[in-house]
Amino acid sequence: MRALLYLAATVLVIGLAYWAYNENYATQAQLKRVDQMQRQIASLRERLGVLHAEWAYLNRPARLRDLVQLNDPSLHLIPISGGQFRAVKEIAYPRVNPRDVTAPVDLSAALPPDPLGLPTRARGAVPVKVGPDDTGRTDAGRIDVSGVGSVFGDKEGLP
Amino acid sequence: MIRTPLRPLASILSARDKGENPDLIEAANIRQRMEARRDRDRQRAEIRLLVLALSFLAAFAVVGLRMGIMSASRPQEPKTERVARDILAQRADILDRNGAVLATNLVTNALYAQPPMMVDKPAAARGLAAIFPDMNADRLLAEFQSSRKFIWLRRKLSPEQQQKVYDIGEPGLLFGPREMRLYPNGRLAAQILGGTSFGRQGVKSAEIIGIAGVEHSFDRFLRDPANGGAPLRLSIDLTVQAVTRRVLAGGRKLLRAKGAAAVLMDAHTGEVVSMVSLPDFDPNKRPAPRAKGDPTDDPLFNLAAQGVFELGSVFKVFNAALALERGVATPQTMIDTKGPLKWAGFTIKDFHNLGPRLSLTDVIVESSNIGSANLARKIGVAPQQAFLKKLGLLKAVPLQLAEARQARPILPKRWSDLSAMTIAYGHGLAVSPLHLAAAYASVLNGGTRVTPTLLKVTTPPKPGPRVVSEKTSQALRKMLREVVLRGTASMGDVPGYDVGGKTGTANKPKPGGGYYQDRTVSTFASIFPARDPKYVLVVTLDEPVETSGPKPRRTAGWTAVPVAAEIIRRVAPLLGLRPAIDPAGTMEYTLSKY
Repeated sequence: MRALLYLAATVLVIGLAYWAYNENYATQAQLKRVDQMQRQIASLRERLGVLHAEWAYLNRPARLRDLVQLNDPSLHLIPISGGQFRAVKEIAYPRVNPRDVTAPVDLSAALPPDPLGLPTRARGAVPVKVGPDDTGRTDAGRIDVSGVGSVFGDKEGLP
Repeated sequence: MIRTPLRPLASILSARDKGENPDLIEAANIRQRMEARRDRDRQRAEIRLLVLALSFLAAFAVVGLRMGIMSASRPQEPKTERVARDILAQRADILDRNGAVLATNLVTNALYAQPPMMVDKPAAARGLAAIFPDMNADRLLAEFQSSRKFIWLRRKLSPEQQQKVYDIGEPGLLFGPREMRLYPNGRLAAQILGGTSFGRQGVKSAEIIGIAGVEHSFDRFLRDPANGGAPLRLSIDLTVQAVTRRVLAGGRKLLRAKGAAAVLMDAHTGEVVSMVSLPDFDPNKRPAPRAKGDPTDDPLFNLAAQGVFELGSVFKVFNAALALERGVATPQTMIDTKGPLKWAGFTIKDFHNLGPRLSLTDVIVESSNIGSANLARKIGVAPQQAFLKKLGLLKAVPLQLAEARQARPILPKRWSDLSAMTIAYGHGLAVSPLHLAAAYASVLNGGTRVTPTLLKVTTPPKPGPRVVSEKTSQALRKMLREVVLRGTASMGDVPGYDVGGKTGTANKPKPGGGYYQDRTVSTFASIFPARDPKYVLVVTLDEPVETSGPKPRRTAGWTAVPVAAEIIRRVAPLLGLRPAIDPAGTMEYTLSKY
């Protein structure tokens, strides 16, 4: 019995020693890998730093200004100024596309049934007409911008 | 083992025959046996003690040895938890308020020589002299042939230079990695950023230390590894700074000014959005301070934060503020402006005769020295002193720049009635443009004290202590707007941006006493939009002269004002300010909007 116990203990010690040996080497291998990766990260960061610096250098205001001047014939960039701001209501919105729908459309069927049982006509439903109105203008939804035309200059004249 | 019997039969029998007591034999035998056991036990105990002592000795030796090793070796962080010591850059970046890089690091190499390892010393010396024009081949060779084992040759190398040194093929020329500070925007914000230099240097790395500007004042923060490389975010806006510098440089050239400075400050948070001082320098190649001559001519000198000048009539606003605040006058109160005013042997004159009386508003609009002096006399010395102190004009500005903190205002030695009268129109008290910007912001933003800062403010700060009432502040804003509309700063109007401001032209003091007649410091301190100021801009030109007319003109209205107006015109849209536009499409402004 005692011999068996000794044997078991010896085997256990050998097993543990083997396990510890393996763990040790695995840890060392991992540490080496970590080291390597950190070196890699360091070199990548260094590279990133260089790229950041280069980006900042290429985007320095003095260079951009020179580029703007150089490309003036094609880009026509000018410094931003207060005169470029306008009120929203002065913007000429695109012309509403006139559609040729002259027949009145009765939309009353589309309304949900009235809980009070009033006829649809009484609820203010009117046939909706889409198309040229009485004045003959096709852009009834447009805002009148004729007064501000001069502000925009001739090139970008109103439609 | 043969065990001796306790009562050996032979001995017992012979003892009985002799008539002796046989028990004695047994007792003797027992004693013998006991003694033998005792000896054995003692021996075993001694061995055990010895083993125990040895193991304790070994344990203590191990502990002691380990402690010795630990104390003698260099500290090292645990390998597994080491994140970044060599990953992070040595010094954090500096960014502007929008995240554009103002200062960053670049890896480069330093060059050193180890003469004992050299193969061909004369060839190495010749090769180096050919690459670096400032090196002398003969002197290098002498150094290589001396007994020195290690020589630093160059602190920074460009990649091209490094390649050329490689091409010499000399094993005794070696490279040490270095981080170098790079300012990608060159001269922009030169005085704010300051510069760096190398501190202690070793083969593997060198310390970078800030020697001026923000690099110096935030040196600790920038170098602290605990920050994890978090960048320093300044309140400066790179684009605005570029535009301001460009306009100011143009103005300085046109007006042939010796120096020029501009401070653009947020009127509520005190953030310095732009601060320019000309002449400036390239922080990548920071020059050495000039040994002789006027230190204020040195490009390293920050005129905006360090330069203290008597700024002239811009101070009238503080005088008027105090008068309104103390109830001495209202904007409509008529003030005596009949000149010249004589006081204690000193004559106070106006630029031209302004008639016998003017309203307080007109004293500001027409910039009357006599009117301001008369008002100051009514107010008295102590209230004026207390008010200027409250505005921070009697102490250095607490900006995060060592240069600014050293720039103390020059106060009169004895603050007499005459001093009070001259200070009312900006003579006798010298402050920096930065002082002025902070004081204008405090007085005109609604009346709460503003502390200038160079760091981006992320949470809106609590308003500072009140310096003037909301009503006074509003009245002053209206006056400043009128200065631009019909007063001395008529060139300062920028359509849509509602500029208000006050001009100031001061003759420069002679070093020996008295004032130069043909050298002035012209200042325009402005706010925009005047109804609800968002920004304060102070433009100061040192010795400008405008020569388009028959006579050279030096007043601020002809010099500083047009420059400031151009800065506002270009910068305001960049700051996100929308011009106020009339529905009719015209950009005219009328005072009825107040």
